[in-house]
Amino acid sequence: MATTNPIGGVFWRMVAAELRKLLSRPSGVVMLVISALLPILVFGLAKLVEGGGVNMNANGQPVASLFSLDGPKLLGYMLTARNFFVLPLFLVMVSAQLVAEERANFTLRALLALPNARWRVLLAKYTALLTLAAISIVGSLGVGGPLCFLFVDGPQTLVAWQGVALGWVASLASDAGLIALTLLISTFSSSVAGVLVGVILGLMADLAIRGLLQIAGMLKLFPTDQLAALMPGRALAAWEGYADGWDPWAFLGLGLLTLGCLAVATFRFQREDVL
Amino acid sequence: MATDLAISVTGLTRRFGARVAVQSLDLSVPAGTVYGFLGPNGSGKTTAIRCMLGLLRADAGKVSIFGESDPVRRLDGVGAIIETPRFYAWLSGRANLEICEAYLPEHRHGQIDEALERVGLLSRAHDKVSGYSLGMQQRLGIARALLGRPRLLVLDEPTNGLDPQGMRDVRELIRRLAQEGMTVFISSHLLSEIQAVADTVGIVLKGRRVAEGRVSELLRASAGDSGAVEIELGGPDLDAIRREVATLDGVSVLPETDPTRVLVRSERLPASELNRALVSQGVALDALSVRAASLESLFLSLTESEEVQ
Repeated sequence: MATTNPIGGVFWRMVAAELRKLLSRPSGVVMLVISALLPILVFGLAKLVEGGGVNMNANGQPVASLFSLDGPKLLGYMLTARNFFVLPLFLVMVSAQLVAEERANFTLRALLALPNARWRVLLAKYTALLTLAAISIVGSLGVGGPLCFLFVDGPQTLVAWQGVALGWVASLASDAGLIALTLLISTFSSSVAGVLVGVILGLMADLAIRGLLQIAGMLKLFPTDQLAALMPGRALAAWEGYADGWDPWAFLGLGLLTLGCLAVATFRFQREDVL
Repeated sequence: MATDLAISVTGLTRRFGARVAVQSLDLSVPAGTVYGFLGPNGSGKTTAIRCMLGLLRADAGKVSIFGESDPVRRLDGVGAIIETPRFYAWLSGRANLEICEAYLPEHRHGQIDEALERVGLLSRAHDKVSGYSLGMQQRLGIARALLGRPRLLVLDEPTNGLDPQGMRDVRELIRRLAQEGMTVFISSHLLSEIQAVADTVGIVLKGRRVAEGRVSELLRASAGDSGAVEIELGGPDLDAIRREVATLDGVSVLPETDPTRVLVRSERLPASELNRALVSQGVALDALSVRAASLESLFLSLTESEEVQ
């Protein structure tokens, strides 16, 4: 008889199996390597600019003179680099590989013919992807943190580091939302490229809607600030609050996005015909 | 729940838009037997199997396996190959089985080596699947289906891609598994393969079951109570053979695809009497052979009668 505990030992073995698939593919490995290398790149660039190695001017002044570097600030730059385009793109790609690609190459069929509720299969995949995102964050922090702490001057108090540290934690929450969104789109498409295009188009549409909301706000048609903060694009950037001040509406939006996408993805996955 | 049936399918119906793929299908697969599931391409076999395994939602009907109808619980104790098995090509054969095993209940763990050994892949277990031939992948698919010693093995076209030796190995494996008490549900278009291993068969045409029963009983019923036989005749003048056969009581000419032969069905006359009757009428024969009753002839006669309808 199948285990009665829905999140019991078998579930964690399923998660481990999914993680093994992710870590045995070039895309998963490259994602982790980039996660570790990006902080080194940011560190090198920052040191180069700070030392006057970049001969650029801004408003008639050398960039280096405008650039004051400290440890927490550099760790913030590393966080921004980590969440800017490349790694989120990899996260979308590996998420699509676990569902859309497996559907296309019929490996999903073998898994779904085993005695497990489909929602458990999807949740196992989601948990494995979230674990990969966490490993990526820990990797970036593991490399970038010591570099910032040991080799950059700046405030070494707990309070000074607290904000950016929370930013990294919030980054995992944003990844959770992005993975959920990707899994939802993966229930509509059987190709990784299709999912990538779907996510990008979705976020572009979100950007356009937020632009319209901003115009409506300027025209004072109706209060739009909270509504804009709830939109997926803003919600996925909730981690940015470490620098600008935390926005609870963005976190509410992120929670709604994650749970909503997971709920709809599970509903669709549960009812899907597997050929 | 104790039951003598491994699989019970009642009124299973599945449509794809306006097309009905499976229509009110009833199947009864006795436990501990090898059941052959036959039908021409597009007859709904694979759709029916997918519905049984919960991969497709049925529009109507009920499926139970060993008395369990819950779509998840009924799969406990089932191993399956659906069409060509697919794998994570960048992983080894063993790693593929380990991933699959992780999805099984704990009481079905720990039999990877045994499964690999049964299909003769233990020595290649650590090679990447991308380096496996089609036949090896098919055997790995069988090994995957055997993980955790299932009570019911569902094999959809298991000999696809296998060479004659591989096909014989699979046939022997199926026999061994059946001797060990496993129920094997095997779908194939290779009728001789099915006849060689199956105790019971179900035949589907256009999504409906047209025959089901023990192979020996179906063949006897197909021949008729009188013990009619099919006889192939050859000679220098096939038209003369046809003319004379038409004059004999209880003997009729059947449609034959081989233009060098005349196929007849004799209700009462044994082959020796037919030979004597034709020779006495001056009809020369240079070949006479009695066709053994086969699933193929039963299948073809059912297919033809369905097409007439």
